[in-house]
This record gives sequence, C-alpha cells and structure tokens, in this order.
Amino acid sequence: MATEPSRFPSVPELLVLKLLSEREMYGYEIVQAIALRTAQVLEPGEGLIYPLLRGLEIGGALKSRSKEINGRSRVYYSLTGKGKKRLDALAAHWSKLNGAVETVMTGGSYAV
Amino acid sequence: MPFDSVAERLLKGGVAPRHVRRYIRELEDHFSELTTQLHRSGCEIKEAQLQARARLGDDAELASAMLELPQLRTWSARIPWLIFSTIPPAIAYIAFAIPFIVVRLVSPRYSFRGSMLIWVPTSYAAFTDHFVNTSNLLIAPAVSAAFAMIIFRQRLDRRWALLAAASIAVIGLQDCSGFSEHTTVGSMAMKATFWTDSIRELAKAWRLSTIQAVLTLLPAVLLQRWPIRVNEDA
Repeated sequence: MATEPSRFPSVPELLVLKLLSEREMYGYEIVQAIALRTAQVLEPGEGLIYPLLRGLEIGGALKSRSKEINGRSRVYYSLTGKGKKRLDALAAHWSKLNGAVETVMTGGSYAV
Repeated sequence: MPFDSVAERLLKGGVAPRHVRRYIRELEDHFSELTTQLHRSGCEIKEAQLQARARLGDDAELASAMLELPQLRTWSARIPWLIFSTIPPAIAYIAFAIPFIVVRLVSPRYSFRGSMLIWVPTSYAAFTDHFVNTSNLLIAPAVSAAFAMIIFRQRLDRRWALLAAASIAVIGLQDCSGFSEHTTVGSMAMKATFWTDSIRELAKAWRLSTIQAVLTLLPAVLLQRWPIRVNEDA
C-alpha cells in the first residue's frame, strides 16, 4: 500500500480508516457504520469490505486479532501508526479535492 | 455452504488456503448477522437469506476483489515449476536423514565412529536393517503424497504433482545399513542411487529402486483422477 494517496483517493478506504481510528471494529460493524453515518448514501457491496480490509492490513495500515464471540471466531481490525499517517494524508488530500470540486460546481475558481 | 464456489475460485486463482479460510469465515459471519437482522425486521428466513446473500455481492465479485491482492497468492502458485522441482527432493533428503536419527535415539549406548556403528548386538543390527529397508519404501512415497495433498488443497494444476514425484524418484534416495553376520560392527549411509551407483550396483538394487520409484509416482498418478466435490448450487 503506497504511503502517498493516489490522485483520487478511494472513498471506502478513507471511511474505513476514519471509522477504525475511533475504535476497533469487525467487518459487519464497519459496513453498518458506513451506511448509518452516510444516511445510506454510500452502501458498498458488503462482501467487498473484506478484501479492502485485507489489503490495508497487508499494507500495514491495519492490524487484526481474532475474538471468540458466541462460539465463533470473529476478526477485529484496528488502525496502526502507519494507518493513522495514511488517514491523515488521505483526509487532507480529500479535503483539498473536495474543495476544488465544490468551487468548480459553484462557479468559482480554486486558488492553489 | 453459500460460499463454497467463492472458495473454489480463490483456490484455483492461487490464493493460499489460510487466506481463503479466513475470508470465507468472515463472509459467513457477515451473512449470518445480516440474515438475523433482516429476519428480525420482518423478512421470512428464506427471503432474509436470499437478500443477505445478494447484498454481499455475487461470487465473481467476491472472488475477483481478493484475486486483485497478489500478496495473498502462494509461492507454489506464482512459480510452481521452481517450487515443485526443487523443494520435494530437498525435503526427501531431510526425510531420509530421519532413520539415522532414530537409529541413534533407539540405542544411544552404541557408539558411532563416523558412519560406523561399533559393538552392536545382532538384534540391534537386525532391527536397523529392517527399519532402513522399510524407510526406503515409505519415505519417498510419503513425501510425494504430501506434495500431492498440497497441490490438491491449493487446487493447482495436478500435473505439478507428477513433476514433484518425478523429481524425488529420479534421485533414487536410499538409506543403506550393513552388518556382517555375527559381528559387532556395521555402517549406515545415505546415497542417491541413480546419481552415484555404477551400472553394476544399479543392476543389483533394481528391484528396490523400481518399487520405490513406482510407489513415489503413485500418489501423483492417483491425484490426476481424484474428484473435487463443490456445491456449486449453494
């Protein structure tokens, strides 16, 4: 996973990192939280959250641990130091991008 | 199970079984929670299951998202020709050292001088001979069978099992022990029959070498026709 955010940062990645910066969560919880907080505007293919989590874990942005819940083993994810840096970089980039798009949409010009 | 077909696609795509197991476990857990939630909100259980399955994404989507992560692929899926031509003979070499260790452990009071065993009673010599002969027949086929199982579990092209078995068989590893009658001195050694023996020695040992080679190739040959049971409809 690159440290520098790509030109158009992945929204699911940004949201996942943001949610996990608040507390440890498992996949289903993350999907529910995204749907709830975005008033169901963003509803990713629910199963696709796991490859994203796995990719972030391999890249060192997340770490995971298994917990036994009702006789089933459940994988909980949390943010690492690298993940925190990645979140900060993505969030800053996203803000800038969002501002630029917003300016264009409202007819103004964006000062760099 | 509802994700058998996803697991099968991932294994065939070279994803390591441990990553597949974890992914499927997470999907099943998610499916179960979603079904419960939909059922509680008034759906019939069958309908809740169908909706939950649809919300998770179809098999192709679920599989392709994981297949895009190259780090999850096993080395044997990335460079099978190298893995299955070099690792099996190396493991066989190590495995053929086990009889030496056992012979030493079984009777620590008999001392080795190099490969020579000295002051050995005839019962111990007989045990060593039988043990070594049995090991010669079992070790190489066991290593070959282990690789056939790995190839089956990882859903790799089964012809790689033939390469693995052939790379073990072609060396013709054998442990040798020799004790002359009523003597207290003998020796143990390991040799690569097809590489080190002269034609004359090969002719003497052809029976054991042939049986060993056939037994080594057997698991790989059987694997070519071994069925995979997947519930594609689930």
